[in-house]
Amino acid sequence: MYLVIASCTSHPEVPSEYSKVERVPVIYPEYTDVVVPPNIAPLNFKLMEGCDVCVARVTDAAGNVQTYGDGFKVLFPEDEWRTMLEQSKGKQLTVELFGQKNDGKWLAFKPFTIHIAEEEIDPYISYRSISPSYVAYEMLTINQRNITNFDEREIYNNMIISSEDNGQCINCHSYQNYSTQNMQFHMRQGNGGTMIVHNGTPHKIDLKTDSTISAGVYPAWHPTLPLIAYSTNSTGQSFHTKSHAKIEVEDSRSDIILYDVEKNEVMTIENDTLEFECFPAWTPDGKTLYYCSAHFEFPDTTNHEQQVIERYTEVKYNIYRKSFDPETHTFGPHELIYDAASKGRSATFPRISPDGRYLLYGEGNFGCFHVWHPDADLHLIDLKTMQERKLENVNSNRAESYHSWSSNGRWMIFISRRDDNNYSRLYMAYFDKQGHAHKAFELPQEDPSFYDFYLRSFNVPEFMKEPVSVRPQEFAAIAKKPAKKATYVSK
Amino acid sequence: MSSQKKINDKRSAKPKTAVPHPPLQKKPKTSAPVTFCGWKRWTVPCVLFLIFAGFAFWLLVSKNSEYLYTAQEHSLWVGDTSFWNDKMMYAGGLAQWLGCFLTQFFYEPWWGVMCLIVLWAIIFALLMKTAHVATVWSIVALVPLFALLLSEVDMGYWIYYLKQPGYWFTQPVSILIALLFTWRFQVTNKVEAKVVLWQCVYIVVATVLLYPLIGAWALIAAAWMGIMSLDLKNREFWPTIVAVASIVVVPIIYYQFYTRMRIEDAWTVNFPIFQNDTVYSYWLSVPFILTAVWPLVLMLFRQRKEQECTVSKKGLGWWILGNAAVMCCLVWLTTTLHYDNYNYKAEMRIYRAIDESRFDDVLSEVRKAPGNITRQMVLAKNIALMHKGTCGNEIFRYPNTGEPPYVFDSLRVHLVQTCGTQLYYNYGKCNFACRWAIENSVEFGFDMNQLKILTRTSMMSGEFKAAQKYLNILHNTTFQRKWAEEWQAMLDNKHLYYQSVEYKNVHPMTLFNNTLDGDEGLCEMYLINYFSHVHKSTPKLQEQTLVFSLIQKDIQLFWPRFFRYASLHEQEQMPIHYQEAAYLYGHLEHEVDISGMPFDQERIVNRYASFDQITQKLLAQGMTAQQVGQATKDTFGDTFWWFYFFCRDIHSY
Repeated sequence: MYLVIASCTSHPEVPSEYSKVERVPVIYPEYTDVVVPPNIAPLNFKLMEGCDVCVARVTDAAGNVQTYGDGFKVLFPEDEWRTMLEQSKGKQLTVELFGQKNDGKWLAFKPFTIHIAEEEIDPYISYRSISPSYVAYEMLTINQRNITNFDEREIYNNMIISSEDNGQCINCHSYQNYSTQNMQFHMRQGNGGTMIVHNGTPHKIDLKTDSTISAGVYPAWHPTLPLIAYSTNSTGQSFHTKSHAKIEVEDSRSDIILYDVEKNEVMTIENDTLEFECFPAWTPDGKTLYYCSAHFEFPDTTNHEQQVIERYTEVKYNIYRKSFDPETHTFGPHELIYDAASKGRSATFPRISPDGRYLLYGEGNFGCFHVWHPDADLHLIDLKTMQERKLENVNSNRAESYHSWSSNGRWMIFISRRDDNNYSRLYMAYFDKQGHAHKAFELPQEDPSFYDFYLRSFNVPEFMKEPVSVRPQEFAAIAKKPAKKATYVSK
Repeated sequence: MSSQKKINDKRSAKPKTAVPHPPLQKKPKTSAPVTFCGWKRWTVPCVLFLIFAGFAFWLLVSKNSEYLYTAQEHSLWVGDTSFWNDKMMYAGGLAQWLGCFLTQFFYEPWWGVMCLIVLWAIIFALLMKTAHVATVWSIVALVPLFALLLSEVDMGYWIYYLKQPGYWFTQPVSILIALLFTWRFQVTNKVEAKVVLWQCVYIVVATVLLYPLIGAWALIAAAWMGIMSLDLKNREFWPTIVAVASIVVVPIIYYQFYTRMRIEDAWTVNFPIFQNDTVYSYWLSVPFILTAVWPLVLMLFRQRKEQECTVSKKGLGWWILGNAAVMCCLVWLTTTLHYDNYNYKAEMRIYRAIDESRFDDVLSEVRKAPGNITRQMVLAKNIALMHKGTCGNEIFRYPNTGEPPYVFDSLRVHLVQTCGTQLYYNYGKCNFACRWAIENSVEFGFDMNQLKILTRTSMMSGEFKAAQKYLNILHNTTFQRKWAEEWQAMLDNKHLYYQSVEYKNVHPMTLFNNTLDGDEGLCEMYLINYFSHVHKSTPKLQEQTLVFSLIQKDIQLFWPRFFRYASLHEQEQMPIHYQEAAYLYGHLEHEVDISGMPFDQERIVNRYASFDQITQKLLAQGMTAQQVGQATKDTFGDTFWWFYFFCRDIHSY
């Protein structure tokens, strides 16, 4: 198939006569003046100027010129794209775009550039592909994508085991230090349990104990030890009757636990009854655990879930951290790192950069479910200076959430609803050595019209150094077996 | 060829043995048989098929056109690569893709039916050829076609719970492909040497090739071929053994490549199984089981070569009679067993009328209903009256109870899956309409109907980019393009949209404040609860709060809404039903002084007195409340009073 497409690639001629337009063209996905990795898949795009035909003349840093155009789309053959990136590493590609209107006249838009960074990006990402649904979860998949090309495979598809009356929700895939040899994801309801791959072998574990609120929820693998910190949550879901936010998910209880993969033991890290502790995240050295916590007091003991629903805008999370002794597996006292509540804001999903210097997190007006909050943006704290700022260039007026660092710390990936507010998409951005984020760009697809038709959302993007080697059928075989029960040990 | 020659010889030999006659004298009527050979072999099947086709056309187009239109609304085909790729992720993907494509043709029901008839004709011909069905037995080969016809129209409310994309065509297409490969299996007989080997190879290759394309029908085709190649006389079993092995092994192998298929489903994938949660409807699979098994039987008794047939003239009459009797039985069975429920089809006409803002037609349908109407119809009627602005004068002139839809099994029909999105949208609850459109699409797959609702709710909510996405998809369908273009024009020119009837109807209902809420899957109960607690001054929305207080028979909710309504409509006459309620409540509870209210003397004061007098009299005679309700329905069934006292046990679902 690729051979056929490649052999059909045309290099159209640039029109000899055209009118100049003194602005850069509107293209989708928006790739003008972005910084991209030198190993990224072709940034295929389409011209959104009402033109039926377009021609892109691309000049690489070595001065080589080539033209591309397929109707109103610009599709780059992978081998030619790869050559252009190699030639332009640390420099830029210049794209001149010509579009032909219905009347046959050509327009020449102001050229734009695509900057090619020196630093590569991890070749694989994984994400959950999910309809922007609310309760139903038929056809949930965790996918892996080779972002140096367009290969996409399913890591696990809940339909491989779900049946009508025994449906299965899957979520929260997570890896130890970008390696897929140690990874996990949850399966809820039908054949429920947590699928933990340890040293390449999958096991199904039941993390719910009598002493914990729930099974593990938001995970964080220790970077080196066989330990996973989890939040445990009592979670509810409600629906906005009019707001574009549509869904609200709120906790009425939550704690943080530590799971020892080898011993199959669970212990409590934080369980203050007046606090909703959530979103654990380790520092790259494994000596500190960051997490979020919201202080919330119930005036009476009746129906906490209803209380939270009624006062959902009062739930504001701060960021804390605790020291951790890898030898003794003991934690120090908690320390407030960022007091978002005092600003009337709520901070979620702390993620420390691989060099340990930056804390990337999400911030919104309230709550923890920022994936649907239009006011949610990505923020950054420089842990050296403790300066906090809203991340430049990457945010929009729609929800930005669930962010991850690449293993070299030069790239970040996150989800955004900026396209249409309903379907979350994956965006990536370059983060330079000076600590500045650059214009975000959407995950490239082979067909630039892909997102026009795709009726599913992307969420929980994670970088991986290699693909997951366990096959979906192997996961399914393990998932059908009873889960091994974790045991609780007190501190 | 040789047999043809023999017959010709026989014919030429007859005059020799007959007694010489004068040249113009007729032949005796006695023993000369009717022979079906050459092109005549197809005359009987053609006639039979034409009778079948005529019946099918009548049943589908005349009796089920609205159902077929709804079928295409609940299906989706998109002319882009991602839709193709998505379908090919399933075993049976090609058949489903083709099924989805062809189902679109039910947009004009007779087009779709013609497509079906063509498919059935090919299936019939292939079955005749493959099983070497003798001409005189042609009617036997029609049985699967009647089963397939029945499968098109027997599902009832399962149409809202189907998980088989393009169901209406997917199965005929699958069967056709399976039969085509089975028919071609005969080529292996022409291989002079190593016939058995070639048969084995063909079975394996066909099964491996067909399984991704038509799913379980590939395995059924293998079974057909296994039976065809069974040669008891020569004790040759290898092809049959290979067929059985293919049936067992091929799905297991393919399971390793499909991530969306349970191993338990590997042998039934793309074969219609009707399941919703714990509810199974095995009956609906019977036509397909019959279609799979019938050729198996025919092939078991199959002749080695196609036979020409003769029927003695003596037996011709009986043969025709026999065929007619079988045909009548099949027609009777299909007509009897197909789902023919008035309300079911009326609901479909009503949904379409609401979508097209034809509210008079909605009311007309409700009036025409011969028996008790369903809850769906009651709620649709309320929507029509709301948009016409006549709730206050007419809502109790129509039935208000509504019963659950008739189902022939234990399927639980819910409003949220049948008309929930339409209800929510028309009552201005766009987020909830959007939610259920998505929920239903997740469960049962995206379809034209849900995409239209999503377009509407996105437009109404001001989420124009999301609307554009749904329109992009609808633009790439075959028949919904026109609808998409109309909405695209409104999306491109918002002024057109804001001037549209639909916007003017629905937008006033969206003027409420955001809250966090949930409906627990019971949309009518949610709407009742919502309208009981909302306080708004936009007249249309406010009036519905009053209407719902009447439906709830809640006096405390009624009075503030009644006075609010009166202040918002100062210059207008108070609608009859609101007067009825005020007059009744004023008499039941003396919390509000109604003495100064200008009630209509004839229609309210005198009529209530009459109502009160008659009901008291009947109750005094020892009648139960239910009996009194029945006795007074014709006289007072169009009043709020009758609704208040006698309309009980309204069940929502």
